[in-house]
Amino acid sequence: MTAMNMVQALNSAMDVMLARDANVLIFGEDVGFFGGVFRVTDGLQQRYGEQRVFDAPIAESGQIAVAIGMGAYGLRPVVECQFADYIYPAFDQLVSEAARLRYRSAGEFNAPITVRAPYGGGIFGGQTHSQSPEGLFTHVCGLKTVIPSNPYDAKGLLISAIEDDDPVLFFEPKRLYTGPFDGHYEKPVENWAKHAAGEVPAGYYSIPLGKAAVARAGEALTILAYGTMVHVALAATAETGVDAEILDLRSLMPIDIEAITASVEKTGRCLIVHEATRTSGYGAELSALVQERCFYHLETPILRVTGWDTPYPQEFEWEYFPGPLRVAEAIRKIMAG
Amino acid sequence: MPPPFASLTPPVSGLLQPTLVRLAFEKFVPANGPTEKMSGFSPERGSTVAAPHSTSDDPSRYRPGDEYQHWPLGDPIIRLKTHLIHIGEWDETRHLALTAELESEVDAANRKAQKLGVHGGGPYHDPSTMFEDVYKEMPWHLREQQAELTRIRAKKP
Repeated sequence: MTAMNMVQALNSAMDVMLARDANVLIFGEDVGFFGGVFRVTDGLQQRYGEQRVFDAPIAESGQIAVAIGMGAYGLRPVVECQFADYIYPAFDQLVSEAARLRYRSAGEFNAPITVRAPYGGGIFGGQTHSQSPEGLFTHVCGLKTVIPSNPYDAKGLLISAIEDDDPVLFFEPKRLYTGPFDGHYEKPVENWAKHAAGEVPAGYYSIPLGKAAVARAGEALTILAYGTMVHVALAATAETGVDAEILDLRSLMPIDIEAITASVEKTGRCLIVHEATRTSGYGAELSALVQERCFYHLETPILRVTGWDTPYPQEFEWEYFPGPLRVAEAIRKIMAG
Repeated sequence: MPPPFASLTPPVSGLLQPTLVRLAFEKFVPANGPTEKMSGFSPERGSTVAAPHSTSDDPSRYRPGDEYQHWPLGDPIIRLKTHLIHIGEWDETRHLALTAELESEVDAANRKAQKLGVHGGGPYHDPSTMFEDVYKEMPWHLREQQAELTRIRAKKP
């Protein structure tokens, strides 16, 4: 085991896969010579050469289109979209081509591509460097969507994403790159060194897509969260003293429905937390699934705590970010119900 | 002789750009389509960014400090100035006066903007204004969320 932050763990995942599989290659804006704006691909071009790790023009649609073509012919490209906010020019390629290639060709071709994108807020990135667009992608049949919450999971999940034969959107909560963040922005910044999930095996391992993790076991209510919000939920739970069970979903598509139903059937209460905007967000899907499958176990209505339905306002970062204060209030409301 | 390509690349403003791009295409694209010469032309070749990307950006971390002085055809403002002086439409005195005038205009606008609010230093608007300008008329769900934020902020210790 080696102490790694999330940047190093992701770098290690790609390093391992480049070494294991000659068909794996990496490209994107500034990922080659410079090693990525967040340093996630640092050193990989020096180690594996410009044929396998290279810079692409600032043209996301072209990047994804090239990856789909490579994938159809047997390569396993990993594309870095510099910020998830920049992915929209590639939306048509992802929705109309990557997601449907297998279906359209009756299984003859597939798009085994991984699209990595730094994601979410908490770094004063303003409206074009803070978004959480996962709901746009979970709505598209044929795409998988993965969001890790710590270095250990990040590496194991990225390796699974690269090995997966379907297209995977891999969103990396950028506020978690260097340390856990529970929404208490006034506290000193933490790093991963003191965190159990900051201990990461140096070699190969994988975590299957579609399996949630229990971030905290409990009996009183179930909190469904992913990415940065797992840490916010942990903080809010500690502050309320409520014995909540927190599921770190890790993978939104496929979703671990067994883990969700087992937990909600046990606790009878459900809170859903995400940083993305509320309306038609992934929390709406979760709420529907829980209602459909666990209705007779529910003691109180399902609640959601989410980002507001506005663009991410730079100046009001902490008024926008659904922090522990709002989550704790929702926990108390559910427990009082 | 004017400097080469003095009028070929977008020199100062978007206003001139369409004309210049058209000129470039007419000069380089023969009737039978793009040529090798054409493939070497793009408006971006004639412009670059000298200043940081944003106030939070430190370009010295990823590009040489004098990089912008080495763009392919040189600074288009200087090129245009030299060109205009060469054809008798401009002179150094007027150029200095215009530079001073524009700098003072930009400084004044900057001071005015800073008075309205600076990131990290205020003054700040009320956070409830974040719900404005999403739509022309605020729908019910945004009014509800706005009220919720105001309520939570009032509660906050």
